[in-house]
Amino acid sequence: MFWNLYSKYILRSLRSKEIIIWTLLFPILLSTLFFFAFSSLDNEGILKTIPVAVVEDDAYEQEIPFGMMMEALSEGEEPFLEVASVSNEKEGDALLKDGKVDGLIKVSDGNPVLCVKKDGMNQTILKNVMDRYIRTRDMLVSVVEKNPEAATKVMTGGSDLWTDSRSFIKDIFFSSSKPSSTVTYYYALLAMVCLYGGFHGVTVIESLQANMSPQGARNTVSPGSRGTLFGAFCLAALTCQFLCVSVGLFYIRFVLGISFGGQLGYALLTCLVGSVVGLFMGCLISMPAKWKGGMKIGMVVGVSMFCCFFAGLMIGGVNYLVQEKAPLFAMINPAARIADAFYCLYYYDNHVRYFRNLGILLVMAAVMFGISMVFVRRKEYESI
Amino acid sequence: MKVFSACLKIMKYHKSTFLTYLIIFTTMLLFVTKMVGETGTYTTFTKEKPEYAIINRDTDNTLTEGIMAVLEMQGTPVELEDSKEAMMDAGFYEAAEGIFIIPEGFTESFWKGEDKEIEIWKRPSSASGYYLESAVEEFLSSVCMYRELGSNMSEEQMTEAALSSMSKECETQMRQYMSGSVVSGKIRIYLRFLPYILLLTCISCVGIVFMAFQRPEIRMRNLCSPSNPSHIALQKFLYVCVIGVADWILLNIVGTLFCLKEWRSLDFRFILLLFGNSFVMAVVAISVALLCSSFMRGQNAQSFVPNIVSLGMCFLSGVFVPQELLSDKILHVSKFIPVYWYARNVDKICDLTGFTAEQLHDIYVGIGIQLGFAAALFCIYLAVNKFREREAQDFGSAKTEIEM
Repeated sequence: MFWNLYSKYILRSLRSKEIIIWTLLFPILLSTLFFFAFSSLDNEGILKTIPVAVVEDDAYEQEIPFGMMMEALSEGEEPFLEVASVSNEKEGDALLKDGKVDGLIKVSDGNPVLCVKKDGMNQTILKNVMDRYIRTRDMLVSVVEKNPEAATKVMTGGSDLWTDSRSFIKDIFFSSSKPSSTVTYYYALLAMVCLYGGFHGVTVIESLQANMSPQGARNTVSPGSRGTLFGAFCLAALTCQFLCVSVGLFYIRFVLGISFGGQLGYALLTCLVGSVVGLFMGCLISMPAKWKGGMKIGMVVGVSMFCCFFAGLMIGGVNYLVQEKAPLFAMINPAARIADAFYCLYYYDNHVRYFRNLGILLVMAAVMFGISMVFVRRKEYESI
Repeated sequence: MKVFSACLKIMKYHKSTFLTYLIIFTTMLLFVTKMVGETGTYTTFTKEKPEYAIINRDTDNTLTEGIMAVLEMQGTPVELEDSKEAMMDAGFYEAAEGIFIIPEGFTESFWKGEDKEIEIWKRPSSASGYYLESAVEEFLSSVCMYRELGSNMSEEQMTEAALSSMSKECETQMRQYMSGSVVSGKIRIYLRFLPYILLLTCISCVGIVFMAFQRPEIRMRNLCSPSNPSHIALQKFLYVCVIGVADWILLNIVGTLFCLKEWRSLDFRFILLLFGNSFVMAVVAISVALLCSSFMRGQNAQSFVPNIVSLGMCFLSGVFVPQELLSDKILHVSKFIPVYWYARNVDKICDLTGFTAEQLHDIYVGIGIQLGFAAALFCIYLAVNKFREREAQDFGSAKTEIEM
């Protein structure tokens, strides 16, 4: 009986275009679009050579140390600056206006002057370079004025000021994986597919309640117990849902090359637990008999999208913001917990937080299952 | 105008679906505009102030306070607890571009000239991280220089002198090439995201209504009615145009009201170009909607096709992600999508430094290409429909919500 119901439900699910489209086709297409659109997102904000125009007039020639600094900064295979030398300000202005350079540098009254068209990180770094030159020069002048012996000490090599290449800062790394702005979108997408298990939840409950569908009426008068029916339908729904999410996961991992920290087994476990949550969320949404099928499906989509928005599906980093500002909401948001479990696999070197996420998801599933059971069990109908 | 009225009646029947789409996605658009779009007017230069966090495990003293003061001059501090988990999360989600850890005993080691170093976590090759790091390096180097050359100065004096020297800045001039205000980030973001909602709502509105006309009994009834088929087609086309234009007007009113201050300070030529470009996009959306309606069969397609077509076009054309961040290969493909030319035009108009014929040439080309796409898509729609009408089996292939 159990396996008969199980196999029939699987066949029914596989024939449902709605379920196949939203839990299999849609995530594959959306992840492909993510892949094309976000392929260069991780390169945003990295330090690149800054194009700059320098007015090489008489004033510039007279400020010899500044010229030496600019020369040093524009040398090498990957120079810090890409200097376009211009003979007058008008020429440099034309380059700045056309957006060919990020800044125009000229020397006025012995001081470098920076001209920019807009604010930005490159412009800020350029300003910092100019500031640093002025500060170092002024500081040396003031120290030498106050303490002429020091100048002699430096000139005669009595000081290790110029030879000391001591660094005061060292880089540290928290994880063996590189931080990425893109992976979280895929994780939130997988969370969305898991919650779309709610479609199955709606179908399961409608197939069990006589007042919701003809199948429900037929199943209610069948000789199988309510528990057997519910168990078989849920297990079959979970099988189908897990299969669809797994296809999405394998596609994202092996076709698009998105990493799960080399822990595919744990990633599959997350999909399974996420699917259980999605399934019981659908069961819970399907409880009100007065709601029509379309309304319930709309609710599943709406709730899933709402949860996924705050898990970072549309704007990366929203999940972190919610985690910081409203930790309780972040904790009870199933999509955020699923996405966070994937993030832990990718970025963390231990599984403490990962299993904490899975634990929270299982508690959520248990609560939703419990509430669903209260409404489903021992129901009798005076009239349908 | 029977057919036109029928279209409106069907739309009225589905009004909850359309309104839900419109309200949800317009709210999301406004949310994104508010979050992402900056409101700078570019009259004076403002330094970028990247977020950073500092964990001081050393004692509070003038040197550590100096480091904190330097960082505060260059960046925006973010409170972070001294735990690896908090630091990992803040770094990964870019809440802090640089995380500095001053180790225990650093100050003592520094004054003794020993090797103990401040630790920094930053994204590999991050420009902001480099900027923050170089500020701290500069400060500590300055203190070292005073220690080396200013023999009579105390540790506090050296730190204070280095700190005060850090406040010196070069002169920065902001060049303005336009007489009026430039296009603000908010307007740019709103207009860049606009085609997504235009496409989504147009395809949904047209698809659902046209599907009803594809029901076999309705088609047979229409074919034997005294109305000329070309009149029916014309009225349906009129409905699509009304939907497209109404959608465009509505979205522009919402956008204008949301960024009213920015729009009011804008040169009228900018306004004309931006509205003209978005209107042409609405024409493209109408053509895309017509073509999509030819392929929509069944209830599932009603929600699947609008979502996939609008998301696909917008992801690949630089609507959700700026075009400069798309790879060259993608950009080559994107040129065959009309939305690419719309997004390119928005960027070009916002970056305009004058209104000479030479500067406007690229924008007019972009508008022309969009119109060309709209005409081509409309022709394909006509050809597909003509071809379909000849197929006898086509009568039985349409399923609508009534049959489901």
